[in-house]
Amino acid sequence: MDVSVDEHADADMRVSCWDGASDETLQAALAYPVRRCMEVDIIDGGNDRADREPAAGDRLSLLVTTRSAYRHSIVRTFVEGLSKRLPLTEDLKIRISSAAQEALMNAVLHGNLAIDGELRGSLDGLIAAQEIIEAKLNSPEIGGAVIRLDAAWTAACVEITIRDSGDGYDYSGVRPAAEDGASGRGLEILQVFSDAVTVLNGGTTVRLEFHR
Amino acid sequence: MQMQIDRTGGQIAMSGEFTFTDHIPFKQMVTEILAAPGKAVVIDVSKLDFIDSAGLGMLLLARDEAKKSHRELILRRPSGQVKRMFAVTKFNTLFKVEE
Repeated sequence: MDVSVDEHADADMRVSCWDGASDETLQAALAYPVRRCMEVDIIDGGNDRADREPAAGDRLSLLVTTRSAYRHSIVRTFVEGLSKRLPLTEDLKIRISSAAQEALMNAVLHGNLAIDGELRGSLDGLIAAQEIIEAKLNSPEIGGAVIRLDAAWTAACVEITIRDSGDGYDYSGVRPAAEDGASGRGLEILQVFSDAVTVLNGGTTVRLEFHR
Repeated sequence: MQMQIDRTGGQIAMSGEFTFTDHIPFKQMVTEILAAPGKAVVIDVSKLDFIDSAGLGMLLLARDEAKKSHRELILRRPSGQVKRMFAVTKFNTLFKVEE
């Protein structure tokens, strides 16, 4: 396991590295009091700019490669890490996990991998998508592109922000699912489980707010 | 996602998480559905901890594949997050869901 924590850093700057090996090593890398965790394969600092820092409260950040975001249970492990820092009711845990999973998979599939959403509408399309995805994940530029998750919280609110490194995504063009269609429910799930959804930076960033 | 298959009983039990990345077990699941002996195939989701919109979509694709061979899929005992997702997306209008 390759996990390191800089114990001498300022409390606001406690950082760790994740080896990208497993959900278990990610859980260890996200252990309190870490505030920022970065996968070791990320070499460019991972789009370090935040849209805005929270005015008050606490925070946790995780930067992973697209490859790891696709292959590991990133959202589940991140929300488990959050639950070690602030009390989350079962209801809130379900809402955050469900909405953040949709935002993360949008960031991976449509942001960094630029996969056509129509491929999810049929069994043959899914099989074709899998081959395209594996080829892209094996590309150092695409598979190594950054996905960033930030959580910030106060006594009243939890805010989750997910950023990709793609060219942006036009959410206004997203159509709701046909009643029994196999795809198109992601945005509906984001909206139902979150108290507010904000799309920023041309669709590369989605901010989800949850009242506590 | 993990699966336990009861071929004689025509039942498939899913466990763990069922998300977009589970193509391979999903393809195996469809194969098992099409090989099931009866016309009703039960998918026991009581041990499924988590599902996303892609997982829901794959269940609908499985339902459509089953229909082609005149089989019906029954989703049994959803709980926790999976039950919430079924409710939000009105899955009980698209599937027979047994509590």
